[in-house]
Amino acid sequence: MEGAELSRLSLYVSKSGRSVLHYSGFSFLAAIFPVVWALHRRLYGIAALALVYAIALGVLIGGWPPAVQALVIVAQVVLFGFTANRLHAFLLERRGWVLTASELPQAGEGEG
Amino acid sequence: MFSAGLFNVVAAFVLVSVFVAACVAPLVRAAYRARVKRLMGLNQVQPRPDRWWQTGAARNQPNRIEPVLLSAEDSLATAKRSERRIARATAAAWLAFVLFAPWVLAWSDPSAGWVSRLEFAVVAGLLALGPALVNLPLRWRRVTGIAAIVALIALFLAVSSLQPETVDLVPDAEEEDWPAWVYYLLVGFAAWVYLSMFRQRIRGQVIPLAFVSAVFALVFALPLGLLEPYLGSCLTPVAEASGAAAGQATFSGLAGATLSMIGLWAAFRVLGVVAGAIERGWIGELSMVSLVGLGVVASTLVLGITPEDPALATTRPGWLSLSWFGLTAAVYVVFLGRTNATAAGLPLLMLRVFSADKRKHDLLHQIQERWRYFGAVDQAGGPDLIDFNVGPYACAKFMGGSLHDLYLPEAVSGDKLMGRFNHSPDREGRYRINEMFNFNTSWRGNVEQLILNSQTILLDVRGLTAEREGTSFEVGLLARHALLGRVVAVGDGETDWAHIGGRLAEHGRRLEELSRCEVVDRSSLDQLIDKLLQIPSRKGS
Repeated sequence: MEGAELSRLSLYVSKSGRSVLHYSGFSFLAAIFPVVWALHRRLYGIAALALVYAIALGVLIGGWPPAVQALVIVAQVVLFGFTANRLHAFLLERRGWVLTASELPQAGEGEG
Repeated sequence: MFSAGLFNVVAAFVLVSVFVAACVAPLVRAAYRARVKRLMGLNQVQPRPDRWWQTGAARNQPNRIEPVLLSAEDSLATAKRSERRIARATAAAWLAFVLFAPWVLAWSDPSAGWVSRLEFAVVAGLLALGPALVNLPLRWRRVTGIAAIVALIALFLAVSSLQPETVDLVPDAEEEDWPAWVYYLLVGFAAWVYLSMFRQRIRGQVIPLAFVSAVFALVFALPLGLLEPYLGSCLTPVAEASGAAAGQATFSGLAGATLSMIGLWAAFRVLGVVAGAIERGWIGELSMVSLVGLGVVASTLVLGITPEDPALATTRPGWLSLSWFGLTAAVYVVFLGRTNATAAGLPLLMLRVFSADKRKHDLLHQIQERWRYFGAVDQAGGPDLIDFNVGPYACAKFMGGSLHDLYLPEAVSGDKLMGRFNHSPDREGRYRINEMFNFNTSWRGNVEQLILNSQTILLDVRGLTAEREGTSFEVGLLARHALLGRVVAVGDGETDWAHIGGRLAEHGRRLEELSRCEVVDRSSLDQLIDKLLQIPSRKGS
């Protein structure tokens, strides 16, 4: 998908030497499986919250009309998909992780 | 869940895991290739913290050993000894597996006659060929495989013709009310899954995926199965208190989610342990594929022997399968003996064009597989050799989301770079294939360091022209540092040698200083190996 990527890849590194990849843009994984997305990013607190949210949502909208259920799910997909990666970057920078590499070309970089 | 016997359930889970892994492996390989391409396009914007290099150094190989410079003849003799040692141990293990088979059937079904036991042994021998051939040196696999298959089929036909009594190794489609095409489809699927475990281009993904799937499935399902007799009484008060459907659904959801997370964690831990064992040289990568394959074959064969007594299904098949596998592995270890190879051998640096041409890959693969009995193979990692070089360690890093840790973000010193490579043999005497992964901002500097620190260099210039420059950068480096004496260049009919000569002349070197070779068949491959082996003894290299 060269030239048609939906996200930019970056690398963050913590002071303790741990590193993690970050994707910008819309996240299909977060939109559909937010718990798996959070676990993959090692955001265990977010994963637990997402799990509780999923169970609570299931109980809450279980008796609602199907059309309303579908609306709620679509809203969730859009909201999670667009905000997940921003949340990830926010949490990383808040915890002191540093952006050390990116797909954006450096000034003056001629070729790979 | 365990009414069919614990072993049968476990074996079924393992088989399903292998099947799932075979289906998913091409997708994982495609995703791995895409990830490698994107990581190679990363540019460093800030230096890494020192701590990252220190944790990276923890993965560096201790006690770097200088290569042992033997003559070409001694190197060839040493490599042949290693190849024969491994081949001898593999043949002995395969033979042991076949010879134990009649007793396995006899123990499982004492009523089986000697003809049935022989037929079972032949089938076991055929299925065990996959694991055995994987472990043999590449150049012996085809001939050995064909000879063994022909011999076993001939033996099977001879034995079958002796007496009509047979044992039901596979279910009769008519007895099971299956249409015949379903049965043949299942056999076809089984054959495809079997081959996926051993095919070079896909086994590097199938085996790790099978590990993950099997451990996940077992951690998820076994507790539920063991608790099944008790869960009903536990759920009753919950169902009565809160409504049967909601209470049960909530409990099931929580139990499922908890076991899923534990299962995933356990699966990746097990994979990490296996990958670590390979990295430390406790077990060779090829032997690991072989052993896993043999384990699957043994458990499948035992699963296929349906015991008459239901009580036997609970304990004896498991012990039978483990004993059969364990004895075979023990024979392998005994015949392998201890290796005296502890030295670094003669590492080879392979410089190549990143190409999608499978014929180019095939030759490089053959060279890699031959050379790993002489010494380690060092090369720049890339998306082109994924079909051959993705092993359990890299696959585990990818599936665990930490493949980027293998990539160097900036150019480093020669010592730091070479410290990341493993030049020691594993316990079987095979050397490693080391890949250097770089970001976009680091590859030039690190390739230069790699060249400066390598004594024997293979330069692939097949298809190199003025329009397709390929390894021209590396050619320039070799000329600038006056290292042509360490190099053998492999070309083909498309190679523009005049263009290469022009690149060399820019740095004051001549084309005649470059040793050249064209590989078209096995004997020219032998000549290439010979030329590479002679480099250390050349004056001025």
